[in-house]
Amino acid sequence: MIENIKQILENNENVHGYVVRNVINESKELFFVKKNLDMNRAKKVEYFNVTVYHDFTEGEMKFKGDSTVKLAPNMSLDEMAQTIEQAALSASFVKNPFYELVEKTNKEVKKLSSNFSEKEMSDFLPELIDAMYKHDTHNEGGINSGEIFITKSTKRFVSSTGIDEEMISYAAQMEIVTDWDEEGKEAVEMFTVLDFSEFDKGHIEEQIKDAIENTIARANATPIPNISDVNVILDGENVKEFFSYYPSRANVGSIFSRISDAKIGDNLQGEDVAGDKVSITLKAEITGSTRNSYLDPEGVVIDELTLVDEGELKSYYGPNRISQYLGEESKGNYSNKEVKGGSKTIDELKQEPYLHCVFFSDFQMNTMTGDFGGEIRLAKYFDGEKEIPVTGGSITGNIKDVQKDMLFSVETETMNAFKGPKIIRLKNVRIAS
Amino acid sequence: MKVEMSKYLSNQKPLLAELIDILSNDFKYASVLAVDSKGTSYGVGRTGCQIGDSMLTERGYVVRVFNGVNYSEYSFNDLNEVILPEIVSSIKKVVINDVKQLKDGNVEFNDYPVIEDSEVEKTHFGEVGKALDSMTTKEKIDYLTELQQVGIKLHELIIEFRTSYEEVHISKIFYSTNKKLEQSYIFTNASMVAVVNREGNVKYSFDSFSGLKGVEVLDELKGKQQSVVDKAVELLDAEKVIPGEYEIICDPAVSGLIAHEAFGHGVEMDMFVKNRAKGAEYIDKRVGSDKTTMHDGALSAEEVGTYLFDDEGTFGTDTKVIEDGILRAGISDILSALKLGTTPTGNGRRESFERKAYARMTNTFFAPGNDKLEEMIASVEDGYLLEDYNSGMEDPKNWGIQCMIAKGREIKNGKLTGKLVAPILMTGYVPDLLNSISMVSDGLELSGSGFCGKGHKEWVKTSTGGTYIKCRGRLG
Repeated sequence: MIENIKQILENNENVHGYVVRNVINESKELFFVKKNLDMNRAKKVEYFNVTVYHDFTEGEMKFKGDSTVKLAPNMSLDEMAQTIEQAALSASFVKNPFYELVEKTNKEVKKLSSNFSEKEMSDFLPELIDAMYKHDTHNEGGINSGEIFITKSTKRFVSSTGIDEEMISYAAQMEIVTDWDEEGKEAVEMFTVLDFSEFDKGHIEEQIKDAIENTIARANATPIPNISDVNVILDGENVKEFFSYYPSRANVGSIFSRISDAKIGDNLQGEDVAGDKVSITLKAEITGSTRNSYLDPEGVVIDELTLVDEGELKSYYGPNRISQYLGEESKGNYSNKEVKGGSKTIDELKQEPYLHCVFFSDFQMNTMTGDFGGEIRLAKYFDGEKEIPVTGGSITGNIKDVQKDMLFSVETETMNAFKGPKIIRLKNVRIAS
Repeated sequence: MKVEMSKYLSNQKPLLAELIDILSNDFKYASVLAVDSKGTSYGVGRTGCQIGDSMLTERGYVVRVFNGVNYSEYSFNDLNEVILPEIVSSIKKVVINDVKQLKDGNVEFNDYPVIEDSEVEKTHFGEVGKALDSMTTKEKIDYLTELQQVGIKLHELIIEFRTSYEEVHISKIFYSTNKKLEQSYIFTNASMVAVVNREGNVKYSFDSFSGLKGVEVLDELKGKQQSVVDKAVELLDAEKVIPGEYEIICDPAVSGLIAHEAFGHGVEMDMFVKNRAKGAEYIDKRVGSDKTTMHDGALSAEEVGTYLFDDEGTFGTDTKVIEDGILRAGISDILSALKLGTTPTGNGRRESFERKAYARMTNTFFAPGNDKLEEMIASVEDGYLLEDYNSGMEDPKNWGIQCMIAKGREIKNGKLTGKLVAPILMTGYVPDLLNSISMVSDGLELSGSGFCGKGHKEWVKTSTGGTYIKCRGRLG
């Protein structure tokens, strides 16, 4: 099929360049309510996401327009040709200043490996089910419901500039709701999503055990007392979300749109930083990440890129077109990031009173404005003497108000598409109780 | 102008009927949902221009079969006479082999009754004012470009002004042994975003328009650039709200978000099946003040959540979720209704043919009252008029609510002071918030430019909105 599509593209005089991203997704899916299976599903679909480029001039200005359409085996060759013709026509109205497409290079595109390739996807299902229910041993609650997905993606990237790469990747997802209903206490639940590309049964079991324990803690939590001026501690996925701000500042898209004015050599946290300085490396592969790829969506071969070192911006990254507009080398788009651990251990960071936010309804960092916040579903409040579980209320802040004094733990952990400090400690965060 | 059915799907009808015939020989229930949705997105900004397929573009099939205990599904995107036997074989593998393998592994199954379809054939073809092809691609992009070029010059602090337009033509066929349903309709949405930057302080604002409309939605953008820019610029001087509980007036966007997050998700009846929704215990009990009436349903309004039948072949309805403060009913997919012994409400929706159906919202809003906005503002001693939102998150089990509100205008002694606070995180306990509703304005405004997720995935098009409501809320 892809050869037919290539032929259509190459025979169309309005198509001056193209990228074809072919993907076959096969999945097995299980949906549980309590300990019982409520539905099983499977999927096999194939797509060809085709970007066509059209070069044109107006006066002395040269442009390169593009348009992306989705083709599938259910289309006849005539329909595909018509769709591509329409895309080429659309591209002729897209007046983006001219730029060069990503060329084939001699750089090796490393292959991904996953232990999910060692047997059939369906053979992993019993082990994933076991892992989900391993610690579901309580009468008062545990696993309320769960969803398990395993997807195998067979991909091929073909471009008019000679790039032709194939890759296979795996992605598993477990969405788990844990609940707790103890007499005399309000019934509560919590929501956990695990994404991974490497099967590690013990790690899954541990994460679900933590989820159950946090749910029990929420059931025992009291309303957040009226507190202010205490350190706020974030962990896990919230640390990952918090650190999404700095890569956004270094993305050529933000630079070109003037949302970010960061220059190479700038200290992103400003001067007189009293806390830990941020170091971020973008990575094509982090063990277990479902976002691993050594080829970016435009065909740039990627591996590892030091973005920020001790607070200093070392490099930009991002889309090829915008990189060229800025006169920058196209360093590619990355989906994984690693943030270096900090100067203090977790124990040291927890010496003073703190509000350790474990679980939000939805913690968000606005990468454009730097505003962050969320409603607290479970936190641990330490008043200097004892730590108690608390719930309700919210935190809000802006990264520009906290980045000079923030501290990161020495201890790091890996989650999907991220490796970084296990906890970070912030000052100047507003707490609403 | 009447919307036409996808020619591709029309041609597939004999094959779909044949597929159901084959499967019905082996299984007590079989259905297929076939989807052919074609959409195009257009965007123009200072940093670039885009035209491409909408993320709602899809063509494919999902088959549901009773496996003897409950239901199995298979999604695929190619079907013709030649590969029909292969597709049937793949379906049987999921329904027979996969189920056997799981049973052999001692997995227990929840049992469901067989879906009893009554014999029905029905079609629905929507109508729009102006056909999607009444403007050429060039005319659409030129129109957006013209608006964008005016917008970006309206203030010296603007770093980006972006206009966008999306058109989606949806066609669906649902066949089961007894049902033959077809629908085709169009919705469009258009928006403008202004981004301003003053010495590194970046703020943005947007306005959007949507509906079961054709290209006429583009007319609604005309002349709105200045207000979008003004809203972004005023945020530069916004202060932080002092955390606390206040009298608040929510604009229709915010009240819609509250309706959606507070009780919309809370009455999705697949949550009842899982014992995840506190609402299940509150049917026919008070959950809000007398002034609180809330609807959801494909037939509750004419917006992007409107259709004849849902993704399980159930006709859409209008559910009065809350009536004068009393929780009356939930919204359900067909399997939850079977399990609970209730009537399905036509809310079984899929993100795409590739995904499972869940109980989902459609058009969700607080019904209008009789109060005037001016009277509502005059009644506030110390509080805020909350406008626009960025996001929200539900908590159906514990009735918590999180709304990221774009801004609040201070009200003191019944008058707007001109002071602005932003951004605002509104949190609280849903019944406290709904019981505190003391005034509800007339008029009804719905917006369908966004998507609704369940948890953190399964995005579907919904509309929300309503009226201005006055209540008490915790702001931070």
